[in-house]
Amino acid sequence: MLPTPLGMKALGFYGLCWFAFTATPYTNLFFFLILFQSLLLILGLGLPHGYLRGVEVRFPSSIKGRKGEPLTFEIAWKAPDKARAVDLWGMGLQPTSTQKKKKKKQRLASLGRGGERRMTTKVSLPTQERGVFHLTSLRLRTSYPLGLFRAQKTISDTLEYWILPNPIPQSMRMVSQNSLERGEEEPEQLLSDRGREMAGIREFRPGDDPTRVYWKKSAQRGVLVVREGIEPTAHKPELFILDETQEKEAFERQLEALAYWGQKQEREHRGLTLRCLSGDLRFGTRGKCWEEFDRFLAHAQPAPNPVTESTPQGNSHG
Amino acid sequence: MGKRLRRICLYLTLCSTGFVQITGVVHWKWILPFFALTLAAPLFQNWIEKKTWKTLWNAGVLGLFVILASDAKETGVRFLLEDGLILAAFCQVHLLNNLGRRQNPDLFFFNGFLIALVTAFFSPDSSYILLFLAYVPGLFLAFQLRSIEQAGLDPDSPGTQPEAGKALRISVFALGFSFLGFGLLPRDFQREGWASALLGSGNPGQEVGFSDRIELGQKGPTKLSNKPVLELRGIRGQLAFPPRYWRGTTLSLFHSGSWEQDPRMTHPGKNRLAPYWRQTSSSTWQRRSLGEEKGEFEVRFKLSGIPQIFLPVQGIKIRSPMQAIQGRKDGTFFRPWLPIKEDGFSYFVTLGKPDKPRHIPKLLRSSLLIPPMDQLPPNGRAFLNRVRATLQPGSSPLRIARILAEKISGIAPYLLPGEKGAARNLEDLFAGKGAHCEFFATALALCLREFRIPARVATGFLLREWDSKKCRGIIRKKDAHAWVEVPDIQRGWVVFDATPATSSPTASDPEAEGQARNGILSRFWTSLLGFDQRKQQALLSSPSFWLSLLGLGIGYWGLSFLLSRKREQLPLAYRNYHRLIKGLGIHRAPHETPGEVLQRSQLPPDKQARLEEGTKRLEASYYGRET
Repeated sequence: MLPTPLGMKALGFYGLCWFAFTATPYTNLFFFLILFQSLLLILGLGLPHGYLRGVEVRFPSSIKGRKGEPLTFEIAWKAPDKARAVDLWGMGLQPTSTQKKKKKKQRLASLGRGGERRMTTKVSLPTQERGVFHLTSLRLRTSYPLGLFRAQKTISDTLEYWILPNPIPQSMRMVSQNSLERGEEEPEQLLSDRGREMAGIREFRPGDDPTRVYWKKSAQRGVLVVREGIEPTAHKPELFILDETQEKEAFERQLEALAYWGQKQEREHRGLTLRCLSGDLRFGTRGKCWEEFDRFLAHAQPAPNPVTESTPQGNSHG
Repeated sequence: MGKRLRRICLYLTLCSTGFVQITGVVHWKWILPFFALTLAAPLFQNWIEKKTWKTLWNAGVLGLFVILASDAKETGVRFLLEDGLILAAFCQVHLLNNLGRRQNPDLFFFNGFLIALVTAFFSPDSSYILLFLAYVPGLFLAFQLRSIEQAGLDPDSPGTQPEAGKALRISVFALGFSFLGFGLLPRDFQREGWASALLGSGNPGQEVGFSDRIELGQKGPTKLSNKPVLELRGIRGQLAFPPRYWRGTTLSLFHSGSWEQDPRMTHPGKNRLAPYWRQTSSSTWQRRSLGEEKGEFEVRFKLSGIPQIFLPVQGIKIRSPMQAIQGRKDGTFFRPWLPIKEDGFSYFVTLGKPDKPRHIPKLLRSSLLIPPMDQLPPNGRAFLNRVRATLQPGSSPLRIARILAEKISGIAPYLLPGEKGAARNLEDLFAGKGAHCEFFATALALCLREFRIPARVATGFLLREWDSKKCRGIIRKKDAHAWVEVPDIQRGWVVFDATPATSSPTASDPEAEGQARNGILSRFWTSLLGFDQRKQQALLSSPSFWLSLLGLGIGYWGLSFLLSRKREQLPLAYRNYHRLIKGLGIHRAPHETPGEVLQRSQLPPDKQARLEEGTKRLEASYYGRET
């Protein structure tokens, strides 16, 4: 039980009143008002517990976000009718102005009032680097109804969340970098609206799906053209070689490409073999689940002593 | 500060301004603009963040400060309280109209409560209680909104509204228990306070109070204490207009600006001026009177350690059932010994018309004329000459005394010692500087002696608070007073008061006005102010108090039980089911269904069967079919 900022001021005010009361001759009205203040503080101290009783929070089984994007996830509240103005606090990393990260207490979510139905609230955390992070000292708090003292209860010691690399294909990065170096415009979107990689465009042929008509190019060329996607074949690349001896930046780029391929393979219900220093790891079909793949992406670290001079840049898949 | 909180703050500002208004200290011309600015706050709300508004408003604040400063410069400290209350009320209005959405209103809350606290001491009657009762739920509602804001929620959004009913319930609870604690908690009703004791020991003239000697020219500020000294209760007779002057000591010797008792007059014994007091028993004295008795009072001491017995000049009989009393030659009475621990010494005074003295003894006359001359300052003598010139030849001593009293009361205003411009000697008084009763009494007594009219200064108390319907009155420490008594062969001791009546420190005593009103609240207010150790003991030993407390507790419990039953609105089947699982010693977690309870329960077969049966009945009632 801790005083809120308002409670701290109230305690100071109460102390001053007591000081004045003991300093001056006894008067009934002053005594009554001192009593009233005392009772106010006692109520402020005791009431919030009742509004916190029975409040529970359920977190998602795994919390994952992408590098460079704010992490958002939903939590489910289980709170009785009586619960009011409850907020969830945790100790987590916070970026500061000096680019350093500092562990800081932060409010994760708030609940206005409880009820029979299960309520969900979105939690949003600031953008972070790839890795595994923890929110510690997760506490529920309320100072309702007087706002003088805060009742709190610890619901969990720690909550783990993973920040995964952003899935960017190697080809796009290279095209993009080359184009930018040449001063050209951004390359066209490589993924079609259906999420499949686009191989190119060709003239419309009878029997083509009309939804695949590329209207913009058709207008430019004067003939109907359609997007042509890369059709899934039985012999798709399923091996990714991760060079862990790369420096951190290069290693991160590899992971971004790996994330892209992993996502693609998962979408197409296929497997992916990852070759790294610790051996081959198989995910998806006939391998570990994709959750394990994400765990790998979040936890992966470059080898302690990278040998930069002999290692070729980039990665290969095939 | 969101919209909802701002609305509550508007209400609280109205209450705060109301608190200031009911003290009667601040003039309406100040209060009205504050009310207007408070009520117009919703209109100003959209401009709060604008620079033009801030500039205009701050210019207004500056203007107000200039007015108050110039006012204080002109009037000194006399209107310090008024200026302080104006500032406090304006602070509330200022905060209401200037707090932005992101600013918190904590200062506003504390300033508001401080106003309520300070104005409690100046509020005249039960209107304070009414306003306080209205103020408290508003304060709790504001606290609710503040706690919602503290949880990072927007109190203006749906789903986070404050609960007025809850605020009201908490208010009733807090006020109820405050009053209970007020009645029951033991405390020292006579406590002086360490600061008073500290300051008082260095300068005994700090607080207005009864004294058996007078020293003119004391400096330093004084204060008025509301502490009751005497409680008067009319027992019988015509008591609509009780005597105002209650004498404790007489002072006849004036020397170097000080009045002292004449030892020849303060010896125990027969009084010098007839009719003589006769001691009929160790604790009863009486004297001859003309006509019938006019009434009888019981006088109870509220302060311990005072040996003097206070008596009006109309007193013809005095008796004390508790302790022996002794008469002095100057006609005053005292207790020869004081108990180590006394609890409400009381005595009875019978009023009447004392017999005529018929002559003034020489010794008395001579003692009331010393020191002879040259005690008046030059401007006092000039004043005396001016008055002498207006007197008709052959005027009676009483007429001269009356004229002198009138003239002296008009030469200067009333000011407490230490106030700005207060006289420090008689010369200052005759120069027109304000002074307190001792100066006016001294000036009158010395002037009378210049006219060869015997006069003495009496110190005691002035009865200002008298409820003629209840025949009860109270004399407080601040009612200490000094006046002049002149012996007359026809009327005995005649009182002359030269102190300006209109500027008396408690000329319009707020509590007395409050007492004059009727109604439950007024009675409540009076009993709140006059609650003391005796009343507390009476309350604690009263069975009806404890019974009503018990009744209130039972009533509260019953009402909340009924309300909770109504709120839950549980059908009979549910109630039966809950009773059953309670009997079986099963605790049902919130959100746990009866089926889940049944599934996890591991009871002996007979109990398990009962639980199954109960669950079936509940489900049948809920779904309307057997499961």
